[in-house]
Amino acid sequence: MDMWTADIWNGNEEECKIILNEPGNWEKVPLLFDDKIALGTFVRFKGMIQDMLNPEYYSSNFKIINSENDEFTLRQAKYHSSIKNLQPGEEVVFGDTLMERHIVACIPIPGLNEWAKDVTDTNKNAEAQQEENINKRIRLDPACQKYSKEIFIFVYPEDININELKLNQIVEVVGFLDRRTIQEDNGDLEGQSSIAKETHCIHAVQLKLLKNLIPDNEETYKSIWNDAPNIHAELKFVLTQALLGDSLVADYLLFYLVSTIYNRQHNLVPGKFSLNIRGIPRDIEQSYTKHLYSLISYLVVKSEYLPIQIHTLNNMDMIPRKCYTSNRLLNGFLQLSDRTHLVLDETDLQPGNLDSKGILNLEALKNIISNQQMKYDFTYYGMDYETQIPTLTLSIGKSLLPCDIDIVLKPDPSYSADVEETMKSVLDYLKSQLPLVDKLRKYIAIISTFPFKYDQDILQVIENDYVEMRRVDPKNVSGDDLHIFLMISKLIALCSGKNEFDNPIWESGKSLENQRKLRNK
Amino acid sequence: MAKAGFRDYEADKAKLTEFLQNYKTLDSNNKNHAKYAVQLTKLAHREQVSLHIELDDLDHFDNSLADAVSANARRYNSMIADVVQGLLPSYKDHEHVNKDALDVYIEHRILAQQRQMMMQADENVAPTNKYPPELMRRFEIYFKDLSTRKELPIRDVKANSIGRLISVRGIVMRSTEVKPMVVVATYSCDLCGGETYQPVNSLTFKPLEFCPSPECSANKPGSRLYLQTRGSKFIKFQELKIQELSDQVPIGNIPRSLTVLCRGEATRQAVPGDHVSVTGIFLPLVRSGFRQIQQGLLSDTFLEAHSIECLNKLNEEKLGEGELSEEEVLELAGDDFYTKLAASLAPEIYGHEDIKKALLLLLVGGVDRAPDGMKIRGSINICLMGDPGVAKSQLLSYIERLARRSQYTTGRGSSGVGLTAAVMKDPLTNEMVLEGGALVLADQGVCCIDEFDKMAESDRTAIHEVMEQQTISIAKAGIMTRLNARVSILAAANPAYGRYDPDRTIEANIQLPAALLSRFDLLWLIQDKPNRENDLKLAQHITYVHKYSRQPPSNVQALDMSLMRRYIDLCKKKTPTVPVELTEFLVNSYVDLRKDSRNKSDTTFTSARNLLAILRISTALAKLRLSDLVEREDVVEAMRLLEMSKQSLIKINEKTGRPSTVVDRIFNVIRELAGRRTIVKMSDIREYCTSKGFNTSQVDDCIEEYEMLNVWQVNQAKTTITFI
Repeated sequence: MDMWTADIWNGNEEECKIILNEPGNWEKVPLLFDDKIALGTFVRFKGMIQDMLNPEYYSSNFKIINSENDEFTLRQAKYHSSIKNLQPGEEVVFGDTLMERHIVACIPIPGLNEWAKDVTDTNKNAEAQQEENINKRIRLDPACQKYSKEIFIFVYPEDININELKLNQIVEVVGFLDRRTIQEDNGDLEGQSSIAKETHCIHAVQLKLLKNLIPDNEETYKSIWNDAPNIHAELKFVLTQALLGDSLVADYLLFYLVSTIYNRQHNLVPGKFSLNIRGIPRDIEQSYTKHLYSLISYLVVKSEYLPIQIHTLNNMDMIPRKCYTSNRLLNGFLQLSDRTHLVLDETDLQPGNLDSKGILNLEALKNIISNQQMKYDFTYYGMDYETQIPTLTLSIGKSLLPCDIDIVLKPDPSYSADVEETMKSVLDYLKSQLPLVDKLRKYIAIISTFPFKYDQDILQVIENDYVEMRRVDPKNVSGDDLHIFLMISKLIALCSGKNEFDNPIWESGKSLENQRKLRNK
Repeated sequence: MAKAGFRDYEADKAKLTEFLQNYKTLDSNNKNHAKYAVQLTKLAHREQVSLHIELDDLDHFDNSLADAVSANARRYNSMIADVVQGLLPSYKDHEHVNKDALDVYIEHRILAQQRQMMMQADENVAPTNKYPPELMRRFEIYFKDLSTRKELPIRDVKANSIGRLISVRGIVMRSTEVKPMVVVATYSCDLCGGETYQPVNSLTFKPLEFCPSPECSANKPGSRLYLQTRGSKFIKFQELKIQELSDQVPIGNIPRSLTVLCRGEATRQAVPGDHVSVTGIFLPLVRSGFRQIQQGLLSDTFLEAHSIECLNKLNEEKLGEGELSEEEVLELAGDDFYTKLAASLAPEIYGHEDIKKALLLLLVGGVDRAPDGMKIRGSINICLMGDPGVAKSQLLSYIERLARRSQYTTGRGSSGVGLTAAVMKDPLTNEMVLEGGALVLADQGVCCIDEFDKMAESDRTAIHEVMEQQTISIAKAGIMTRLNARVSILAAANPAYGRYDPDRTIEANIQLPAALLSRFDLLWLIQDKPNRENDLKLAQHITYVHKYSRQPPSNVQALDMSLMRRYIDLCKKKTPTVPVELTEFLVNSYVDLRKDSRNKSDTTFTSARNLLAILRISTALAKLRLSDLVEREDVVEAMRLLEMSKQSLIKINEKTGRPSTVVDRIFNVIRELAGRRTIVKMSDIREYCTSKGFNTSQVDDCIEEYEMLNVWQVNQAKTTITFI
């Protein structure tokens, strides 16, 4: 496989496919950026689809004619972007058949946490590493929106169903590495003044859509499922420590971490779990929220931390915007792939004025929190894109942003002595128990995706319960509450490894909610 | 593609000649009309520049030819141009008057050539020294696609469309200035003085370097050619970029774009932001020289525009997604289609049937009338009020998605432009331009305004005008103008005190002036009240959603959004009238309404605007039935909706234990009659109450009851009452 080139693939497509799809072989394909790889070789790349460009047309074959002896060779142009190694005296004649290929711009997965990056290769390119760090930092800077590690992937519709590709999906491709100047056309067709930028590109031969970045095998799923009650207890213990001994909030934070959207109907998004933990004590260390985030980022695959401040709201490019001079979609902070846990830290918000950009950014955040969708800016119109970004808002008082569920943090008095120390010990505990951490991570990634059954009998009980609740307190009980009740009960069941709804679960869900409401009063 | 079957081009040429000369259609007077021959005459006299060949006609003439043309349009275009050029002299019956520089230039050359020919008759003239036909061509040939042909989404323009005539629709993102583009370059040689012509077909060309005349090429004396601008021919040229419309983009994809090149008469047809429908030939971009090598295997593509149509609001129906098919009509038909349509609005929101019906009518709208310069709007305005969290915003956002033209905004005004309009500086030209706000942008559509109560004062005044006159007057930065804002306003307002306070009037609750509120045809209070039956239904609905991850099957299947849209489009085309025999019924209904409102201690008002509202709503109902006449049932339903909307406001009283019974209402009437007097004559009371629609026995009951309560005393003779 190491020696494969586009021409070999073109010649022996069937055999190559068989070899590639043998178990284990896919992973053997070298990853781009991890190793130094020569152009034209077979590589693998994992990234998020950031933009989809117009398709381009290429001549499917061409002839190279040697003018000296009039001999010619017929070549296929698939998986090539330019003709190389042309000898003097050779001329190229293009075939008439134009074929189509699609260009997808990919960037390294935003918010991917350090631990989740592929750890298989030890000889990581230090340079690339550094570049990556800079990228994470620069993202706040509006001037620098382009990733230097942007990759263009050529997708051939005859190999890969392009209709499956959606924006912000995580894809893994294997194909042939190439470099190309992608014309940043700026209006003139002549394009003399255009900024030609040479970028890596991959001619994809196969592509996989990755739902989560956890290895997708039966074994893992089974072992996590069978061990769910234990892992649940462990995770809750860790979170309770981190939340300064508040086990009720720990329950909710746990739900936040594992929740997934399992359905979507217009504006109704069951499974959405946007949490607001308020009442972060003012007197404890400023860095508490950051510590809490670093714990979360140690557990979830992808996460982003966003301090909600006047400055960030007014200056950050959060909303992806189409730039018609470069004909590209400019990346915004909120262009995130599914299940990227977004932590919004409001504890440092000071009074101030929002400008129009700030308002738009705030609206975008609100839209994500309450509808899980986002309007990208195409100047002449906006287009809604569905998102799946679980949000956690940390605030001192009632948050500026909406939420599905809010809860007041009540730290145990014995903990507040040294917050820094507590948080550090939690992380140290995790770091000393790597097999446990591995389980926790997998558990968080997959536990809520297991199938779940509802029994008609229990649903009837629930329905009657709801009517009774309404009768007693119509002001404070609405349909939304029922959604939350059902969602929490489902999460309680799944988290402890049960895939059926029964009465005790419903009761425990209700009591949990009652405790929360009691505390919020 | 054209390659599939080889066509005999010579035969086609002959056919095209015949077509142009002899094709006849029936004109509006049912007379035979040699459509193209007439135009040829005009072309010959330079009274017309562009000749549009309609493929419909060609198809009628010879359908295999029409197919061939649309599959290989570029080639046939130049073929027709040749044919036309050949034909023109025979259509010319008089010399055109104005000669331009090129005519004079050519005349000179012809004379010079003739002289030269006489001098050296034996020598052959070099082929390039012939005038290329393009040089003298003063007309442009354009194709018009078959009317049966569907417009392609830009996404579906693929490699197999290359060379074909296609129609696409999109929004113009950018346009360049109109520039001259060379069609024929003329050179003169500095040595032999001979002239050379170079027809240019692509966007770039490589200037000729050596004179091809026999003496120069034989001697190789190193002569140079100079480009002669006066002798070259130029054509107007403009480049557009169009992008897919948002509804053509599949979920989770990025809109695609397409380059459109316009020449000659196709230029200056659209500006950025316009919705356009472009017919043209999809072609690969031929590059030559260095760029071709650099570009390697790729080829850029563009659409050579043949006709560009601006789809502005004038021909809105063209924006539609086509007519309804037979099956779809069947799907819609049925007695309960009104309920069905209404239930299909925001199916994820449970209940609120009447509100949904009202919103459906808002989408359809009434009919604008303008008798004698007076303007009566047809659009229906609705205001939804209610406690937070009763799905007001969801309803609004659904309507925004469903309506073809719609704007969603909040009262606070989310952008600098706000609701009305703003004067902005154009970043390209530095010109001051008027930019429409939500109300202007939603012209002929729906403007959804959330948080209506929190609107800025300036917008609030503007909205008065919009809601009755349907215009916005602007006097800003020296620009004074009046913009159309024929919008239906769908507003949502939150109560001023967090929750609706039943003890206060609507104005106080919503904190909006009565003048503004009265402009709404329907005001609706959505309240959240426990009700066993409804709660259970809602609970079942929610549990179902969680169990099966989809909407529960209801007795009415929700209709598809696009189907709804098309049906509403169809409804909008109707302009029903109110028959004379209904007017009396309408008037009576209104009088009753007035009577009622006087009797009740009503928090709403009944004014002439209500009569108009009834008219509008019943017209909308007739439109919804696709009928040309308003029927009695429509009026009854309109009255019912109005009543329901009032009920939603009145119900509050019952809840707070102030039932507005007949007795209470009569008491209020009597209080009103009494004014400051303490003694009121019984006969006056009887008369006044009857006029308010109460009968005598009710009045007697009232008097008796309040006497018991010691509110007033009735004298022995029962002729007067005295307030205590």
